[in-house]
Amino acid sequence: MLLFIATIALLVGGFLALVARGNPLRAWLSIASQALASTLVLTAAVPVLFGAAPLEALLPWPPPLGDVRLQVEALDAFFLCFSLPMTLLGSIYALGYLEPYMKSKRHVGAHFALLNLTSLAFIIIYTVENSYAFLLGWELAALAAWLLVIWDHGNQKIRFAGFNYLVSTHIGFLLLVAAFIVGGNHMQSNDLSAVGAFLQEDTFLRDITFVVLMTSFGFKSAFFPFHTWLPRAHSAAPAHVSALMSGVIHKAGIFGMIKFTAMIGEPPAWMGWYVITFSIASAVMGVLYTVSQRDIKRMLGYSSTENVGIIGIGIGLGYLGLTWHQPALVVIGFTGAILHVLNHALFKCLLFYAAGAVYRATHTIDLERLGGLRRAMPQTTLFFLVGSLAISALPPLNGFISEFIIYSGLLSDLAPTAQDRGVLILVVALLAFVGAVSALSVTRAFGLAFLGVPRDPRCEAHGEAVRPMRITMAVHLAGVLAVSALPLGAITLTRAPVADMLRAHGLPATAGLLGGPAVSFTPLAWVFAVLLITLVLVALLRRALTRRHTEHVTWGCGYTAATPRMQYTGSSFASQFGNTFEGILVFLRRFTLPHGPFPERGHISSHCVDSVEHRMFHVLSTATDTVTHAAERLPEDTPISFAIGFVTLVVMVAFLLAGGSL
Amino acid sequence: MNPTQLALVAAQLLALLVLPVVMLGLINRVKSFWAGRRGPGLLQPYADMRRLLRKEPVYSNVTTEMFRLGPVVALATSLVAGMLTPLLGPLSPLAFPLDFIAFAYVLGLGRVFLMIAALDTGSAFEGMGAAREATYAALLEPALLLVLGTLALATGDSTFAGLLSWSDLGPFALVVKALCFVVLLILLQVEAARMPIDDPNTHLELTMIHEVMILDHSGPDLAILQYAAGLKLTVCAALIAGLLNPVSWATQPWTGAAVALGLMLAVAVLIGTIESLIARIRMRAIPRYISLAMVTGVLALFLVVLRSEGLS
Repeated sequence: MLLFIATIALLVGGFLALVARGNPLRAWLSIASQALASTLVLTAAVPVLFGAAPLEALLPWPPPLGDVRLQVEALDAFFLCFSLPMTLLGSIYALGYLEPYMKSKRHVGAHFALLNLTSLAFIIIYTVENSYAFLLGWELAALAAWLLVIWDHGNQKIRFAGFNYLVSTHIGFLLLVAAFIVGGNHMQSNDLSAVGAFLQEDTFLRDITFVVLMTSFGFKSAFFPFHTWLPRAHSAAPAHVSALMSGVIHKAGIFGMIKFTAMIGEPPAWMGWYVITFSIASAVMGVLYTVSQRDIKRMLGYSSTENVGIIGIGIGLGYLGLTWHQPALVVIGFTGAILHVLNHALFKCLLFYAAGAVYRATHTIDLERLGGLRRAMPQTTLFFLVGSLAISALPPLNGFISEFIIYSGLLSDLAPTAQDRGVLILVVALLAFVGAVSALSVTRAFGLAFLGVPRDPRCEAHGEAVRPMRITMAVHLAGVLAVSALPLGAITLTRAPVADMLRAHGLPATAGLLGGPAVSFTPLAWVFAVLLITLVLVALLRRALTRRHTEHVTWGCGYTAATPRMQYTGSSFASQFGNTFEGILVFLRRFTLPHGPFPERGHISSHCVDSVEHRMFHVLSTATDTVTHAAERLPEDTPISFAIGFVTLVVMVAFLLAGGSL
Repeated sequence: MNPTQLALVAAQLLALLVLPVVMLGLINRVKSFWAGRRGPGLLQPYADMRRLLRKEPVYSNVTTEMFRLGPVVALATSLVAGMLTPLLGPLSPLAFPLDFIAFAYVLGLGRVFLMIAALDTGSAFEGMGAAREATYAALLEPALLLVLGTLALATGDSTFAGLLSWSDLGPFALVVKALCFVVLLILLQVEAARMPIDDPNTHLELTMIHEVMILDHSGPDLAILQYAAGLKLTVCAALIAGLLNPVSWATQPWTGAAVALGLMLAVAVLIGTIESLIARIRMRAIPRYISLAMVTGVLALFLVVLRSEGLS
């Protein structure tokens, strides 16, 4: 089977990258092996995506693992088809991003070998149907991502961010283990279908397992409030690692959500509402935090939380469709969600890569110091602009297309009662808010970094990004434009997974039903066409009117000694919005105000902290304090402490026994 | 499409070209009436724009092509939004199910490019204007979609024209329409930068929103931006007119169109009156004013849901 060869190619490539001589050779070996693996995987998976029978195989393995069943269904194929090529692109980008290290003594091969491992982890996660092997792939992806994040491990902050990520991802991992143990134990099998069979039983334990599973996937995909590791990790990691984590690796959480949905059978209504509530909370909170970030990559990290929220709304709609027996809603929900996964991977990676190009050129991604990059980096400017427009779902780009599908589900009349429709309309309003705020924050980032003049002369760029970086960005840009120009083609890619979803629930997968989300697209295409034609006409008109012009300095409203430092800054741009939401966007301010008749020194520094993380650390430290204080009070070597120990032991054993009997 | 519909579409395209100027002129005329002046003619904005079109623009040496792109995108998106709106009847040239989502996002695109053009100058004033515009738009967007969603729920229709021409004239429908009217009026005040949100006549940059964003645009660019702003005003007024229009468009298309036109002019008179009698509210109070729109929208939605629950 092609996938086996791909696996072996990745392993060999990774090994060669470690042992070969010279950094460039190592990198190229890794890239070559990834290219080979991607080609093989695409050859194997693309037919499945277009309706061929799922690939199946059985890998005999001695217990306790048990036989590992491999299966590539349409959903697996979809995720495989974008994950591997995008990892390959990330590795090509790394070639440019890590160029300063290529001639140094640092072993760059290890980094590329880890990228190979990431690809390998995708193959495992998206093909195996055995819970142990699935967890192995999950853990492999997490560890590889951690080691990739701490590339710059000399920096304590980066080590902390990496450790933070490692802890968070393992909390999620343990929850997943717990869910698998419960499901697998119940059915006495390690096969994931056993978990599926367990999820179909309508028991209390099933409901809890569902919540645990969703929490675990929430950790992986950084849903609010499990997102705290994400902004740190994304700002610490090299740009391509941030891009791959945000766009590709953490989509495994979404994959898990959809995969296990397919197993649930007919979910009760609360599950759909649960997913929608979490998702809209993620979308709103994520987007609120994007407004106040100084660091471009931190901002993009929060925007990942926002986008998985949007994807989650689609999934939640699909759930509700299953509950309400509305196949059309199922189709709309899952099509929107799966398409947004692809779109998000396309434009988020593009934005992270552009941010990386900015970092390479100026050694900072601090919005308060950047400015005027347009002059030195016209191509990166274009890449970032298109990515920004796409991510804030502005027409006619691809983000709008997937959000439009989700809107059409939220506003459809398929909900049984007016109450349900009313709640969905509230979700529409919140989604509109998310879109508008996202437009605010990307405009802010784009405008401050690329337009105007540099705020700090030390952060001036002196040239465009190197070629591998530009090529990668151009490919992503082409992807964004392709999906924008051919939305129906992109929807065709989601057709097979959605059809599988319908069949898994005993619903007929007719062509008319599957074409549902695309119904509005012909008129929408007309609108886009009219928009583009109008744009061209207006541009021509304007050109005819302004043949000649004169140049002057920016009008300073009468003030003539303006300096670059006086431009509007990121904090001032976000200030009024931030004040409106000061309950959520917590600003820490440190300042000494100048005073006296001859004021000399004064400074102010403000910093927007994540209120969830802030609160979490606060609660944790209070809890540690409380426990320490309580422990100090216990007298040593007296019957009382023995008694307390004994009682604790009894309670724990009782819990264990009670858990075993469930 | 029958001849009447074709004629109505043609009339709408013509209205998109003419009405913005007339609306702006009418507002100024009403304001001068309240101030006891004779005031300029109704077509004065047209004369102003023609004068600007003949001038040579001045560009800041900091700006790039983004600055020149701003007016182009702003005008194009306003025009497309105008074609998506049922201006003179339930016959927007580009109508389709859920066209109002496209409407909201197309306007968003224009706004983003205006802000980008403002930031391109590197001027703190224009950055300030962009920040304000973005903030208020973000707060307003949910209110707009709440109202449109509520109307969609009440009418069971999903096109812009269908949900605005809610023919029910019972007391319940009137209450909901009144609530929607409040939201749409606030929408107009924010989108078209009118009082009490923004004062188009102010001369202090620190208190402006829209005007300060386009501070560096001159000549034809400024004319384009002024026309685009007038278009936005017309489109928002058309939404209000469509909501209030009692004539059934299906049976009497031309009467309906005439009434819609009359109502739009009435909205212009209302704006002029508000502008003459009320002062601009403080910048810090604007989010609270906009949240009034949001609360009203939620209230309308709540009423409609309660009503349908009672009926079903």
